[in-house]
Amino acid sequence: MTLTTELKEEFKDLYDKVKLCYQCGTCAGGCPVFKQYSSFNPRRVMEKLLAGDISAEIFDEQQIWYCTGCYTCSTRCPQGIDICHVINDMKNIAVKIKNAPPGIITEMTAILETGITAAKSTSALRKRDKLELPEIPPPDMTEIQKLMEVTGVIAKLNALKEDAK
Amino acid sequence: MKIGTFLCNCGGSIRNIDWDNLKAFIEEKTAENDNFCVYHESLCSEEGKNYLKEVVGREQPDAIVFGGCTPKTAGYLFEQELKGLNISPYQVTGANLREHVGWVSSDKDSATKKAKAVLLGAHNRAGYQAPVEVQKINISQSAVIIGAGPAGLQAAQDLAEKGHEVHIIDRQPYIGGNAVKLGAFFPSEDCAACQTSTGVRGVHQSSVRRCFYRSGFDLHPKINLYIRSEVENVTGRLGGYNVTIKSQPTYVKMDRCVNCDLCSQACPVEKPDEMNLGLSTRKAIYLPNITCSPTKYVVNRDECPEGCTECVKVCPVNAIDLNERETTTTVTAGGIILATGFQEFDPAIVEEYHYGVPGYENVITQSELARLLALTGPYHGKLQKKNGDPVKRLVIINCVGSRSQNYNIWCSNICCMIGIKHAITIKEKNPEIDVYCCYIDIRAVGANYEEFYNKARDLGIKFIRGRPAEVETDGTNLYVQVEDSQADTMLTLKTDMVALSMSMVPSSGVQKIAELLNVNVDVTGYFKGLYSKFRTSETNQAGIFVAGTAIAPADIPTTITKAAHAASHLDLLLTKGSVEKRFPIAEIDNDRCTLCEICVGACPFGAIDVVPVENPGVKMQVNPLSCLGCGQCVSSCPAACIDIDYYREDQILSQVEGLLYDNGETPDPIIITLACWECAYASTDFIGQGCLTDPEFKYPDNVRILPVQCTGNVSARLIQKTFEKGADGIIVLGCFEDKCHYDSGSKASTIRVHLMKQMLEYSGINPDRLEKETVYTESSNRFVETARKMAKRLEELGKLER
Ligand SMILES: Cc1cc2nc3c(=O)[nH]c(=O)nc-3n(C[C@H](O)[C@H](O)[C@H](O)COP(=O)(O)OP(=O)(O)OC[C@H]3O[C@@H](n4cnc5c(N)ncnc54)[C@H](O)[C@@H]3O)c2cc1C
Ligand code: SF4
Ligand code: SF4
Ligand code: SF4
Ligand code: SF4
Repeated sequence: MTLTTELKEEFKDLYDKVKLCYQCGTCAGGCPVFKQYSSFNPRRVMEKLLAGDISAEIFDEQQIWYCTGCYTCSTRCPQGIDICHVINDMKNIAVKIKNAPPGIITEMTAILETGITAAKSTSALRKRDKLELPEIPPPDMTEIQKLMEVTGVIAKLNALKEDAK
Repeated sequence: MKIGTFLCNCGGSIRNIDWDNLKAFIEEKTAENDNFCVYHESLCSEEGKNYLKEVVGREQPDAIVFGGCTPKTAGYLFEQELKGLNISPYQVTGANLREHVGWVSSDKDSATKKAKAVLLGAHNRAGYQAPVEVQKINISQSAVIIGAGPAGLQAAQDLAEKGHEVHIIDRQPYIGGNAVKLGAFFPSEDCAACQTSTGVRGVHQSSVRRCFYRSGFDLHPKINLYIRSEVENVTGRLGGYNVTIKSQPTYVKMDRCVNCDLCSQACPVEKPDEMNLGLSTRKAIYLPNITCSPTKYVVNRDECPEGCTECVKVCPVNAIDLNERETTTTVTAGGIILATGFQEFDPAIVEEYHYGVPGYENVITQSELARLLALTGPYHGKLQKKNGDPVKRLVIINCVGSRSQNYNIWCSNICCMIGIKHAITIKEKNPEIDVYCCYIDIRAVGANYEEFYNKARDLGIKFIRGRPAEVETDGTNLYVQVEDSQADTMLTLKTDMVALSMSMVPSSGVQKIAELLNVNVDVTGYFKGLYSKFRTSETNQAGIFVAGTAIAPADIPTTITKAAHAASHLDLLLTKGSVEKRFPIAEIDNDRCTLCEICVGACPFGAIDVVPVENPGVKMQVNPLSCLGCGQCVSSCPAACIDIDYYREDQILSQVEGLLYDNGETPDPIIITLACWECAYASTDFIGQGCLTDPEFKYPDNVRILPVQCTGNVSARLIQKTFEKGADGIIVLGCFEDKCHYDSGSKASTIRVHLMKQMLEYSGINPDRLEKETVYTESSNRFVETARKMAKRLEELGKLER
C-alpha cells in the first residue's frame, strides 16, 4: 500500500504522539483484551509505530479493532502516552484507506438503529439483578441519531456501505 | 589621556592588511594628546616583548591599544611584560585584526578598510579605560554543613582534618542519614552504616573504615555536631556567613550518657518504632538505632505522661534533664555545604500498586524491605509478612515514580541495584524463596555492578522485562499483572510481598534552604550545580557548595566522591584566608534609582540587596562579593541607573562608533555584532582560524564584532542607540541559553531581542535587522550562517534610513 502525503502527515502525528514510548509493557500488562487474547498487544502496536512501520499491515491488520477503548493503558503509561487515543486515530486512518473490517459496518448500523451493539445477555441481566443495579433505560434514539448525523458518522457509514458493494 | 597603539603583523601572517596605510590612518585620526603608534612584525617574540616593554617604559601611556591577534590570547601574552609598568590588563584594549579581519577577509582593500574601523573602535574604547579597584575579602576559617548523611560526614571529616572548624547540622537525632537504615550495602556486601576512618592510612592507626558508632566522629576536636537541629537563618556572604542554628533538645546530656539502657527499661510509654516501620516498639526514651552515632539516648518529650520522671530516677549518671529547652546558636562560616540528601518518593501517589491501601499491607518500599532484611530490624533479618507468615515469593517492581512523564522524569540511578541487592540477600539466606524482579531496563553502570547483576541471575532470581500495570489482592495473596515483553505473554504473578523501588526525590525542606540562601534548584527539585560538566559541586552562590545526593540520586561511593570534591573546593577557599577580587562590578546610582527592585530579581546571583536607610527607607546595594559583573541588572533597570565599569554604555557605544567608520568608502550596510566575551567571542576567533583552511567559514567584511561581558548585558537602550549611531543590522551573539556563563543572561537576552524586534516594527524599522544567535566553538558555523543571511538581507533592505 502506498500512502498519500496527507496520510504521511497523519502518520507523522501518530509517531510524535508515541515517540517517548520505551516499550515497558505497562499498557499491555493492564489491557483487558491482551489478557484474554495475546495476539492483540498495545505495546506491539506502539513498537510498530516507533519503528516507522507504515507498510500495509499496520493499518490493514484487524488487530487494532480489538481495542475496546477502555483507556486503562492511557491512564497507566508512565510516559504519558495516550495509547487508546492513538489506536483510535489508527482506526480512523484505517477507515480512510478503506481497511476497516466488515464487522464495523454491522456494528455502526446496529448503533444507528438500536443504540447498542449487542443485546444484553440474560446472564448479564441476572448478575445486575443480583447486584441490585437499576434497570438500564432504553437508549434515546432521536438523540443518538442526531449525534451520529452531526458528527458525520452516518455519512461515513454510507460511504463504507457503498465501498463494500 | 595618552594612548599608545601597538600594531603587530603576527610574524607576517596577517598579509591582507596594508599596515603602512593603517598606521598612517590611526596616527592621523588620533593625533592629539601625545598619542603614538608603533608597528612590529611579531610582538610576542622575545625581541618583540622587549620592544614593547621599552616603548611602554619610555612613553608611559595611560592606555594601550593592541592591534594584532585576538585579545583573548594577547591579554595573557603581555600580562607578564606589563607588570611593574603601571598598566593593568584593564587598560589594554584589543583590536582583533587577525581573527576578525585579516584571516577572514579575502580582499586587501576591503580588509584594510575593516581594519581601520576595528582599530578606531578599540582606540575609542581605550580612551575610557581605568584600572579596576582590587578588593580584598577575608575568609573565615570555618564551615557549616547541612545534613549529616554519608555526604555531610565525609565533607566534615575532610575539612576538619584540614584544620578547619566544622559545624555540622542534622534534623535527626543521629548521624548517617539514610545509610543507617539500610543494613547491607552493595556492591561490597558489607554494612551501609560504615564510614571512612579519619587520619592518613599507614600513618595513623586506623583501618580503612569504621561503623558510625565507633567512628568517633562526634568526638573530633574540630567537629561540632548539632543533632535535632535545623538552620533558622543565614546572613552575610562568601567568606563570612552567619548561620543561626535552632536545636531541639534531646533531654539527655551527650557527654554523660553511658548507654546503659536503664532509662528505657524504666519508661512506661511504648510507641511504634519509626526506624522499623512501626513493626517493633520503642520507649519514649530510646536509642534511635544501635549502629548510628551518637549512640546516646533521646526523649520524645511529647510522648511523656504528665509528671513522669521514671527515667530520671534510674539514670546512674544523672544525664537526663527533662526541662531542657530549645537552643539557638549563631556560628560564622567561610562557606557552606548543602548535604541534605534524598528521600523516597511517596509510594501512594502511584495508585495502581495500592501502597497504603487496606488489604495491601505487604506492598512495601525498598527502604522498608531494607529494614525487614536488617539484623537490627523488627524481625532480625527474617523475611516475613506483616501477619508473621513466611514469605514464599517476593516481586520487586523497579522504576516506581522514576523515568516517567507523569511523576519524575529522571532515572534514580541506583534502584536497579537496590532491588538486586535485596534479591541476592534473600536468595543467599533462603534459596527456597522465589524472587522476581520486574524492570524496564537494568542499569548496572557502576564498578562491579554488572558482576553483581550476573550473580543475581546465577542465584536464580527471575528477571521479567515489563513494568507491572497493577497489583491486586484477593485478601490473602497479592497478584502482579505484568507483560513479559520478551515472551509477548501476560503474567499474573501470585505473591506474598511486593517491594517497590521508589524514585529518589530531594529531601523535604530543600526549598526552604534554597530560599534562605538564594541558591538555585533544578527542575528536578534538587539543588542545581553551577555547571553540568565541572564546578558541579558549586552553586550559583559563591561559597555555597552542594554534596552527595542533594544534587541527584547516587550510590554511596558516588556520594562520597562528590562530598570530597565539595570539601576540597571549599578548602581551597578557606585555606587562602583571603581572596582578591579584581574585576569590575555593578554600580547603582542611588540618586536616580526608583526603588522598583527589578534588578534584585534580575540578578541570578542574588547580589543586589535591599538595605534599610533613613531616607527614603531602603536602597539597592550591590554586594561586591556576590556580583560577577555580568550586567543582567544593567539591562533590566528601567531607570538606566546601573552600570559596570569597562562595559559601560558610553564605552561600548564609543567602540560601536569606531566600527561604523566608513569615511564614505563603505556604502555597504554595516552589521554590528555584540558578542559575549565568553564562548561567543571565542567562537568568532575560532571562525577566523577556520578561514585559513576552509572558505566555508568566511563571512562578509561589513560584519563587525565587539565584546560585551554577557549578552544579558545588552539592554534595549544599547540596541536602540547602536542603530541610532548608524548600524544597519545588529547580531546579538551569546552562549547557548542553558550554557550561559552567568546562568540566565543569554536566555534573558533572547527574550529581550524578541521584544525589541516588536518595538522596531512599531517604529518602522524592519525587525529582520536584529537577530539573536547562540554558539559554542564547535557550533560556530551558526554565526557564519546568521551573519551571511543578515548581510544578504541587508543587501536587499539597504542602509537604514534615519
Ligand atoms: C533502600 C535503599 C537502599 C540503598 N542501598 C545502597 C547500597 O547498598 N549501596 C549504596 O552505595 N547506596 C545505597 N543507597 C543509597 C544511599 O542511601 C545514598 O547514596 C546515601 O544515603 C546518600 O547520602 P547523602 O548524605 O547524600 O544523603 P542522606 O543519606 O539522605 O543524608 C542526608 C541527611 O541530611 C539530613 N537533612 C536533610 N534535610 C535537612 C535539613 N533541612 N536540615 C537538617 N538536616 C537535614 C537528613 O536528616 C539526613 O541525615 C540505598 C538507598 C536506598 C533508598
Ligand atoms: S505503557 Fe507507554 S511507554 Fe510503556 S510500552 Fe505502553 S506506550 Fe510504551
Ligand atoms: S484502551 Fe484498548 S489497548 Fe488500551 S487497555 Fe483498553 S483495550 Fe487495551
Ligand atoms: S552585574 Fe550581574 S552579578 Fe552583578 S549585580 Fe548585576 S546582575 Fe548581579
Ligand atoms: S532596577 Fe534600577 S531603578 Fe529599579 S531598583 Fe534596581 S537600580 Fe533601582
